[in-house]
Amino acid sequence: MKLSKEYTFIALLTLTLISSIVTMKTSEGNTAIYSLLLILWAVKFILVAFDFMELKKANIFWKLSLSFVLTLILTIILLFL
Amino acid sequence: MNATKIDYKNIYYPPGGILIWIIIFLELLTFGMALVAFVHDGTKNYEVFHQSKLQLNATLGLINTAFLLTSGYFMAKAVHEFEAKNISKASLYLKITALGGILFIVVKCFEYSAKIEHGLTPEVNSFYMYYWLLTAFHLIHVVVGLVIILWTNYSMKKTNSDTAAEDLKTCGAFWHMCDLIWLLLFPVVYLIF
Repeated sequence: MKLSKEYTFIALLTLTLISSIVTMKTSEGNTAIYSLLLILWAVKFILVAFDFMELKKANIFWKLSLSFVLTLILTIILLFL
Repeated sequence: MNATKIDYKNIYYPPGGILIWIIIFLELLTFGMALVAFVHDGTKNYEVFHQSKLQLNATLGLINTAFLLTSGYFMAKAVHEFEAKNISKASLYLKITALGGILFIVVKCFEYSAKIEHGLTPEVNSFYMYYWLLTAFHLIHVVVGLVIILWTNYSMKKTNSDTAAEDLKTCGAFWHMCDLIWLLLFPVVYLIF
């Protein structure tokens, strides 16, 4: 494990902090900022799945499948925004 | 304690087992479809969704995010310690994980009671229907995850326990699934609109 989980945890908290600052400074209805926000949260999703859930050790099929599901959900949401 | 070496590169053996991953995908797709419907309705009733979103407490949501991420980190540490045969340390980390879950539930109950007090129930408008459905369904998952964690902790500490590292990974995968769902749900419900 070394320090990988510690780095991931720090990265997750930092991204949470950044996204909260972005949210506070967002003007209403700013689609570009909303998109950036969703991408930041998608990065957190990937970090949890690949490091905490050890998906990085799994067969490529599982890595691609999860990435596909995440991309699909985010793309549809972003298209509606 | 059983110690079997599993080749995770085999397509049939993802970490935690194939069944939990099928559940994770089904859950993500279910929540994903509900979130897409939420955003679709939100764009059609922008003013209603915007005004309703302003009544949500995003700070409480961020605090809950921190609780879930912290408990997820300790869950990962618990699995690592169990694999290293440090059962007492793994048990301590599992208890910290459970504490994170309990704090999440406490904050959520506080948030829900404030909403009920102000009459913001699912009947108010479609925003609140989605809000209650999505967050309460997620909360049920957290409660189930908490029960699984406490049960796993109890069974792994028994003398002659047959708990394997894979059992703890499955338990961890379920708990992390709650993180993943929250990481999709929180920005969409609390931050956009």
